Amino acid sequence: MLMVPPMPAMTYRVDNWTTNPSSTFGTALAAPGTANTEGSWTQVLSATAENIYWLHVAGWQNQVAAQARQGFFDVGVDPAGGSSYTEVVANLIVGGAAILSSMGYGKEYYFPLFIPAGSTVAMRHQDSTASVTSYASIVGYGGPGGPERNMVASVSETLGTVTNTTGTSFTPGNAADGSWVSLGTTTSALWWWQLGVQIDSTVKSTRGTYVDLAVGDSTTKEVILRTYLFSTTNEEEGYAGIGHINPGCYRPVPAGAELWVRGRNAVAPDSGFNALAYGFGG
Amino acid sequence: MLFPAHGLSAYTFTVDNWDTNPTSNIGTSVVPGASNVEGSWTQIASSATIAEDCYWMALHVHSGAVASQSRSQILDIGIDPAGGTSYTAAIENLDIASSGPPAGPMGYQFLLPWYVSAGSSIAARIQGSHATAGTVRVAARWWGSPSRPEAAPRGSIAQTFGTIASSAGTSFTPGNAADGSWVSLGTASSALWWLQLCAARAATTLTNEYTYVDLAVGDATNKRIIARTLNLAATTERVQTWPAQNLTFAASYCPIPSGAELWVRGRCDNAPDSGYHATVIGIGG
Repeated sequence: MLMVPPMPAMTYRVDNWTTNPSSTFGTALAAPGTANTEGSWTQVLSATAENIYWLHVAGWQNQVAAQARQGFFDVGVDPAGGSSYTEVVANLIVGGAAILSSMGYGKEYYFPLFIPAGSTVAMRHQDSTASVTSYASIVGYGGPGGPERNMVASVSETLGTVTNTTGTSFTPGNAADGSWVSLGTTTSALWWWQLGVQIDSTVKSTRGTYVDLAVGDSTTKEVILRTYLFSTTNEEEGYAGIGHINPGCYRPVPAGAELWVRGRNAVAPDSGFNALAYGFGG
Repeated sequence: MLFPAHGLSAYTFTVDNWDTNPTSNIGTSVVPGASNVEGSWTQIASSATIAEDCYWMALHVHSGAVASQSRSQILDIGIDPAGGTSYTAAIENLDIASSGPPAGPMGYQFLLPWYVSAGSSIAARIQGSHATAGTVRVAARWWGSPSRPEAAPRGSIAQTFGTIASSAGTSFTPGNAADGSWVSLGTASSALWWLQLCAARAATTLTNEYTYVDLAVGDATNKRIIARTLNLAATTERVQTWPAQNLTFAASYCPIPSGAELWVRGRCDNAPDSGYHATVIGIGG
């Protein structure tokens, strides 16, 4: 049968990976000398040769044992190819993201965002601890086709309440789903979703936690994603497995839609869970 | 030319074999066959679970590693459209050697646009190299009920690239702070449009090293790189390949014509461990 492709093949791939792989491949992002404030932009992609339609961003090495690290990365773009960046994605959660030489994975996000050819891309780091460094890798996927041939996202929204460097708090259930907590309502129609989760605690357990993102109202909800957050007693965290990046991320919702989060542990949960959701559309 | 409308589909039917409550042992335990013999089929989804036609299947394969042991393993996914236990292998020889646990390094992930009709049952089987079978966990999720069925992929042809020997795919040797030599994985028997790179390693001693693994299409002299992923291991002989290469549409949707030849190579941060091997699963139809 005729297979209608979900998109044209992305024949252009650009990244900030170091020439040789290492435990710190990508770009170091230093948080400023004042906690809970935005850092400076650091370029992660030089002027792109072709249009970019999708980005994969990963953050790691935010973790320090016995510390309650809470971190955000922003993504900025300068379409003129300079260093005057405009924020396009805000507050991607990277708190507690693991060290590659330990857990091997951190906090990854995959989302559509149109970045025209010739643009530079930068990222910046806000952290609950001053003057700390975490690492970011980024891969852009694009191709020669124009916007008329591709799904194009030009709008992003970050849903949830930001306090210092934490998102909306929620409490996972003990061998049961926890209560739904509202992350707020969308301003625009959006069609792609990612979920960010971190644990604001100096003591974490080695365990998995299901974290659900849903759309709906106070009585009726549709689950969009179920993420499998894994943490360790070394205060590391990461998104394990297949719950975070998958076909379920595509879920069109209208402007004014309300998003919700909840969690589920097998036992009494650690304290400090907080989340933000990221919607893309346009 | 007529260019069909593009667009993704929203899937409102989702099922999985995850535990009711989250644990480190997420998914179904599968006992491999020992000493390079196929294991038995273990059901990972019943006919009742696959209540609707499903278009996507994601796999997280983990916890097969054992310290100080070389655990080469390859995974098949079988389907019985009648919902019974007479499984026919649909996807064969995913290279899943020495997969680490969720505590990390966390093993391997795959996203397969494989159409499964409602009422089917689905199973996994594993062939392992070690004389002691051990266990491997397979966590899976399926998506169905697309909002745009005409835009939902319906993979029905699968080809495994690579030569299987001793429960492992084609061997390759990464370079030491340089790209290693390209090694052919074979040619496509039909047109394919979705590729999953199964980059793995197994040895009795693995170091905490990092390796880029590249997949290319081309011939002996000209190649176009179509994927780059990161393989890493811990000194406990646990292995992981970064999931993004396989889980993202942008990286995995890659049409190739019948007759196209695929190649693999690696680039390590130091003198590489021995025991790197790979297969590629191509989906078409």
